[in-house]
Amino acid sequence: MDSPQLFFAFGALMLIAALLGVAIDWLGKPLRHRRFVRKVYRFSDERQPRRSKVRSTDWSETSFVLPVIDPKAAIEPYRYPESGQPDVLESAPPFGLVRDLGPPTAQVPVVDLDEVFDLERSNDIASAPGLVTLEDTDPEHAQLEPLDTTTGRTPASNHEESHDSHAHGNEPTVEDVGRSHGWRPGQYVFNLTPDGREPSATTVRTRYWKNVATTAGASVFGETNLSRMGDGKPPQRLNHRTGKVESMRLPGTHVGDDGGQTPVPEWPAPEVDPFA
Amino acid sequence: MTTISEMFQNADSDTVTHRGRVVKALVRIPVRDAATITVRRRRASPDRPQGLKIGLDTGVLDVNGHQAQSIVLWTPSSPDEVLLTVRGARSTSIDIWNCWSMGGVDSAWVGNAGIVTKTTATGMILRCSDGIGPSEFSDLEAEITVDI
Repeated sequence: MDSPQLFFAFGALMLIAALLGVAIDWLGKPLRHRRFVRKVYRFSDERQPRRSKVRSTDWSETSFVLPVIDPKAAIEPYRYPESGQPDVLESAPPFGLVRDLGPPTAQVPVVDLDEVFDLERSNDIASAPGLVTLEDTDPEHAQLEPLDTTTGRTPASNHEESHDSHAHGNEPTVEDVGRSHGWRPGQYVFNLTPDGREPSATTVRTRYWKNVATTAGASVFGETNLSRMGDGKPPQRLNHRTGKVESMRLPGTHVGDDGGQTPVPEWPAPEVDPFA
Repeated sequence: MTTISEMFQNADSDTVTHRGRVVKALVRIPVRDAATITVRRRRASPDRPQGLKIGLDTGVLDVNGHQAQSIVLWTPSSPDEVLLTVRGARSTSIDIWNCWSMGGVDSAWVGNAGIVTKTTATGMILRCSDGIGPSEFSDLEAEITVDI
């Protein structure tokens, strides 16, 4: 093969490679921005993921409870009981770690639906506390604003609150409420570092295993593993098929990985459930 | 107190004697290509989901339209009787061990987990203890029949 033929052959190969790249890029576009969501709980009779509890609304309730978190409220550190250790439930499973939200700073307005329905029946809506009729608003702007599920406020009121917060100086933001600075065993693993930085994945893992070590259910792992977890290391087990020792893994070590939920650990398990 | 899984590790073995019983971490049964394995669940504790894991050394297990080298049968999802077929010319044995799910975590070979076996005319009965609480070999009971 002489030089021109070699050149054209090389060019053709490059063109095919470029076309393949374009095709992969084009086909890959719908897959972008997709987020892998772990199926944390396999069965319906297990505890449901807390995310679904937080985000779902139980319409069978007779009253709505909208938690309103006050960003201006001071965050106080968790106070330990006199023994110096967090309370431990004997029957608690080893992974049911409860997120420490600190002292109750949130104001919780409760609207009783019976009261609202009674008022509607009597057409005395104007006297209902906290209700605004559409007639009172500007018709051009009489549209409902979506409610922010985090704060229980509309975006406009959030914006005002944000300006208000900035006007008062360096105060905690809404996102930071519930995440204390610093961490001690038993506290939320995604707490910020003492100087306000995000904890690294290694820090989160260390905190997690130290937390597990403080629970009564952790005894299932045995003395050696309790000691390891006390040092912030994952428990290990002997895989009797392979004859090798394997460690428990902890996926989701960033606060944004699963909406701030405490991660759920897993053993390496390649088995397929044919009836799932 | 030493758990059964710690006894396995200390003995560096998958078989120990505990309170006069021979307890196994896993059960190995010889099979060959095209053999059919019947797993019949006799009893399971309602406290938490219990499972039985079955792994083939080489080849795949054909069950419910799925093919995999290792499978798991969970009490809430699988039927009481499951038929598996071995697919693999070089398949020689299957390993069976128990597992359980608690707090969303699928566990095996920790705590007081172990299996006590009893041979019958048609196969083998496995009495399994999950790792939670004291060792009671009544958390899961299944009968395994291999038709070679």
